[in-house]
Amino acid sequence: MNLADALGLLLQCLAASAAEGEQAIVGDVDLSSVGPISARLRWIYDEFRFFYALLAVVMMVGAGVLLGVLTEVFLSMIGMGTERLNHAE
Amino acid sequence: MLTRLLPVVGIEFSILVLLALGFAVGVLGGFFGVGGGWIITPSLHIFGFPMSFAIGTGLANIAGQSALASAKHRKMGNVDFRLGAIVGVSMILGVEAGKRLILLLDAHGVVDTSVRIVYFLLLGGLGTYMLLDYAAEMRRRTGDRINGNDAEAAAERVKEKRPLLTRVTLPPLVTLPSCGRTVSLWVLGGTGLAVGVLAGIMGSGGGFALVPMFVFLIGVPTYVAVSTSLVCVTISGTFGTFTYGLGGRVELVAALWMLAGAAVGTQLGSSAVRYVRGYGIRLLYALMLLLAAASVVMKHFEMNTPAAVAILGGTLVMCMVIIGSMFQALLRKNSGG
Repeated sequence: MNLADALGLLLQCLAASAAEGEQAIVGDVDLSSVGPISARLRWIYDEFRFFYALLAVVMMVGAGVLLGVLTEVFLSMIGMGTERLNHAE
Repeated sequence: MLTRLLPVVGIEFSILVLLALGFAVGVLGGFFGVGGGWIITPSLHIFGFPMSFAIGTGLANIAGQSALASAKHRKMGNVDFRLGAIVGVSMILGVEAGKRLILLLDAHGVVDTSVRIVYFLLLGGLGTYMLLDYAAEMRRRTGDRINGNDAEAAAERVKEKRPLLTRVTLPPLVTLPSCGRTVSLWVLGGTGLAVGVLAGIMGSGGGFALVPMFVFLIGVPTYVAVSTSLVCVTISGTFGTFTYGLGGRVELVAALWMLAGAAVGTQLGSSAVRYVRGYGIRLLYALMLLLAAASVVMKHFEMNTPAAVAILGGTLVMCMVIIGSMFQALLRKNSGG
């Protein structure tokens, strides 16, 4: 077997096993015991996995940037913002 | 302690633990220039998340947290964007390969043990290496002081030392503005690919490996390595979130709670990096790596409480040291010292 054949076989194996692994997801959750936002997220997760993945990226990066701005403003207000700390060096 | 049922993973979890974990990892992440996935993933697993969910959720938290931290580091002017872009983009391929391997191991029911072994070997190995390097440097400095040639000898050593990866001259070559060294594009791409595979397997952004690689193998100054690795971690974390989300292994609610805690912690950690530099950072980093490795071993032997105490206690102590150093600097400034 040459190197190209070996790589091809490895890629086929990885693709098949990934599909197999994706099927082995967790069981049902009783949605009456979670809040409305959590219930909606679980519904998107069950029905539209691609959008759940996309939503995860958008929410995490968006929330990260937003929280970063808010905490920076808050820390500046109490005299601990980036500018103040850099000048203290 | 304010527990909620998490809708995707289907387990009860304390919101306070998620917030505290996010805050602590935010401080360490902002300070060490890592997403903190190497703390979050074992922590979530120790507290009851299945390993593949701990990895996916850890990556989601990293994506948000490192986006937040790298914006702050960029503002401070510490980022080498050329290095960050090349390594970050090549990490994407590695993360995808790592994810496929994890799903394969998950389907065969051996993911927990496999990932624990990888964690132990990598964190333990890296921590030990950095600790030994720190001890050797301290011995050299003591010797220099005794001989009375401290600054001169240190400058000579830096000149003589040519980092390993800069010795490869396979074109195309890239000049890095942060350190003025020329490095092969293939070397940078290969580094990103290798770290990406590890990141995909371990559920971390890969910053834990990038910082020492940038410093020891390329010769980038420590504080630039810290900041630049965050850019790479943002890229790999974002891609990892998407690809693990497709595989159904991201618990978004838990990741968002952790991010809320991390928002405050990251601001403090990123600012503190100005006050403790060079070998001080490396010593703290080495100790934290060794503690994380020890907690993974304890978890493997079902010692859940000591494992949780080791990783959370270690994280807490490191946070206190970092925040304490920053406030000391502020007090010195206020008293005119």
